[in-house]
Amino acid sequence: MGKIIGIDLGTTNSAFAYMVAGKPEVIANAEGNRTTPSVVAINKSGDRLVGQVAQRQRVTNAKNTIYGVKRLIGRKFSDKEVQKDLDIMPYEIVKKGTGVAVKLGDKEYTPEEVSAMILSKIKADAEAYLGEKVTEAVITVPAYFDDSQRQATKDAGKIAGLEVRRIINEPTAAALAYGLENKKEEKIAVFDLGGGTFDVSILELGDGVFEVRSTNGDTHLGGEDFDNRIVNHFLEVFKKENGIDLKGDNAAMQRLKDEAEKAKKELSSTNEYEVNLPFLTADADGPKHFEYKLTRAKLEELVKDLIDRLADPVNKALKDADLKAGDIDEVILVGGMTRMPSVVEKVKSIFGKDPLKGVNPDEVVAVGAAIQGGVLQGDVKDVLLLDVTPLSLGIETMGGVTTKLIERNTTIPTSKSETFSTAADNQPQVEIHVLQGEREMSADNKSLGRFILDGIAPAPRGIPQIEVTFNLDANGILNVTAKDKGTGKEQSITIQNSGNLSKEDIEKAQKEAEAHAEEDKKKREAVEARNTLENAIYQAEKMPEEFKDKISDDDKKVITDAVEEAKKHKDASDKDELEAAAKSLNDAIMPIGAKLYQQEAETAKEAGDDQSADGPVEGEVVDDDASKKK
Amino acid sequence: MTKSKPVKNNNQPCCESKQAVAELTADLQRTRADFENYRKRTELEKSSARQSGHEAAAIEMLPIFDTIERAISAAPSELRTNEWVKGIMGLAKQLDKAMESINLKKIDSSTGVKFNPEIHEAVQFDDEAEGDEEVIAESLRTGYLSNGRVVRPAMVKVMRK
Repeated sequence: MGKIIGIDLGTTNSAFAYMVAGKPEVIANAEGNRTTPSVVAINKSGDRLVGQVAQRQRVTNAKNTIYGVKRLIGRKFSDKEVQKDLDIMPYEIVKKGTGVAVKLGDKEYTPEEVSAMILSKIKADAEAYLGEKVTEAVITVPAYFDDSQRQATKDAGKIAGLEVRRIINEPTAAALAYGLENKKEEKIAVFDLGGGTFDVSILELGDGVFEVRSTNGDTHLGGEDFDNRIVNHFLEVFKKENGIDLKGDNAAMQRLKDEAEKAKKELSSTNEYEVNLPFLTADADGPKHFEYKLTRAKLEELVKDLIDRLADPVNKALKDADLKAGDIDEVILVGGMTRMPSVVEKVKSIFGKDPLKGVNPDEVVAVGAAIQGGVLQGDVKDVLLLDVTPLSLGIETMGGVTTKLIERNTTIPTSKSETFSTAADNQPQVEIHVLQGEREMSADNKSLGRFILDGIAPAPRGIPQIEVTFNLDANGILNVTAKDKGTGKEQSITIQNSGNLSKEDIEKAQKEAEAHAEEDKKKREAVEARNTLENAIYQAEKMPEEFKDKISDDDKKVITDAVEEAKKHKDASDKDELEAAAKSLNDAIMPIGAKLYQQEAETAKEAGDDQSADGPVEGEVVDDDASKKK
Repeated sequence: MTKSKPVKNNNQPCCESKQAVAELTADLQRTRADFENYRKRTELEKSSARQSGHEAAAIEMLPIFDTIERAISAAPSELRTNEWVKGIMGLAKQLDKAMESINLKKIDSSTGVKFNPEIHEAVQFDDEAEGDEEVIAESLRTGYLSNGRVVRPAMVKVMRK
């Protein structure tokens, strides 16, 4: 069985998504974009163009480029909306039976057939992306669509080769995207400010079913109106300064539009945006530049009446649903324009609460449709809801630091292994101290249990290999095993309640970790520096014995003195002091080490043998493993 | 433990658990398959992420290239032989080379080139001329390709020929 994809078949743009391992993901189209213009065209050679490509040739082929077909689907020719479109649309709308058709080239197509062309591209792009056949879909429609419009949308799917498993309302999809179906009883307002239209819907949720209580809106209010206000303002300012009207200059207009878009985005987070468009145009006197500072206050003034127009449809919808603004439990924002701070402010002032955040408002409807598809497919089931581990799990390592094996927020079940070693020569046993928490030092984390693995064969420090495995099952039961790879001996512990934490406990642990992050980091760095120093001392102490025939007595003395000096700093708690001590010890020993290698290389050369390549390995071990030693 | 009729009593739970196993196995298979496919796609995306990063950086730089192009084409004719102006023109050439070295290519949108909506975006159409072919009348903003992919279409005025 293939995937059921969720499709937001929009008036100006469409988006589509699917479920992967229980999570929705938006699919990029063949051009790499996450939204696809709902535009279809036939060019002179009879090729069918859909999406971005159709959009780009629109002005050259206005009669054969169909956009906004969603306004026509499932309608009768005599409908008021259709009659209005007859004048506005540059393409030809004709009567077909009681319904409508549009002319593309010399053929007539029903709106279902045109929508099917968009759906076919979506289907093909989804198949290319997923690498498998797509035959089923959930498609969204506006809440105010009647039976005929819904049926026509379903037919469009069928023509495109998609079995439409369900048609769902756009506001319902948005609510699904926020997981609201799991709540008991709620009243939800969906506030959808798109490119060209504004829709508001009041939903009521009961027993996991959404009911649309009322809808309202303004079919001629959207993002384009806001952008136009800014561009017009720029035009006015430029005209005042230079006496040039840029309206007919397409290149300049495009740059102003891009700049307006940027200004709108930037003014969401700053108070002032500097427009800087050098060489915007030129006249007989030479090039003209446009420099201007747009403040957030000015932007808000420019769009104030548009913002104010948002309130009326909301109030009407509330009245039709027989509710007051205070009765609404959740507010959801849909459409790119709802990113604008003054729009959010308006929503807040109407409902007296913050709208939900987190899902991209351009994609929220497609995401909800995909979730509905997942439910139909059986992907979304309670038994398979995956949990995450709320806090990190790890063990205590040399110097009392926590080495994490499983990071917090890892999806469970999961397992992780890491190899550790001993901290002293001939160390017969290691203690595995299992810890939970986000702090760097073991003492600050919660101890979950401890056990000892003994019987380690005598060996220099750092040589034995102790493999520690954390196995966390779906119920949060943690099994920790330590195995000596040399002897095969192993020990383990099972901790029943590693995940059994209250929300407060988890938050407390995370807050504490954040609050102490800086201080913990310092402590950890000091421990690491001390481990490095101790290692350096250990290696240096071994040298006179190991190379007793190759090192002169003078050099031996240098080494012993340097080691003595380094030992004085061993118990320091300051990272810099520890590092400095390690450095001076290494500096003292390095020339002697270099001499040794040189001697060895010469011996090797004489023997015509190349064994010196093994040399540096020992040195590498010192730094890398220092913090991991038990 | 009581010894009651084992057959009858155990039959039901056995069937139920069999069904549960079948369901869970199917779910597991699907999740595994999902994961495998996701992993493969992530691998692919990883390799194209460098490319996308390139493109994202290029897009931010394009307005600057545009301005330099404009500045040069707007240079007053009496200044064109001025050494300083020549230097700035040299700078533009340097920039072109640098762009090519990061695989950023200009889209050909010179006058007379056949209009192709895959790479050209028409913002104006001059329908006075007669003819069957649509060609570029004027380039309004240079477009760019990165490794063959459109980073930004060329903005053009189109006419018939």
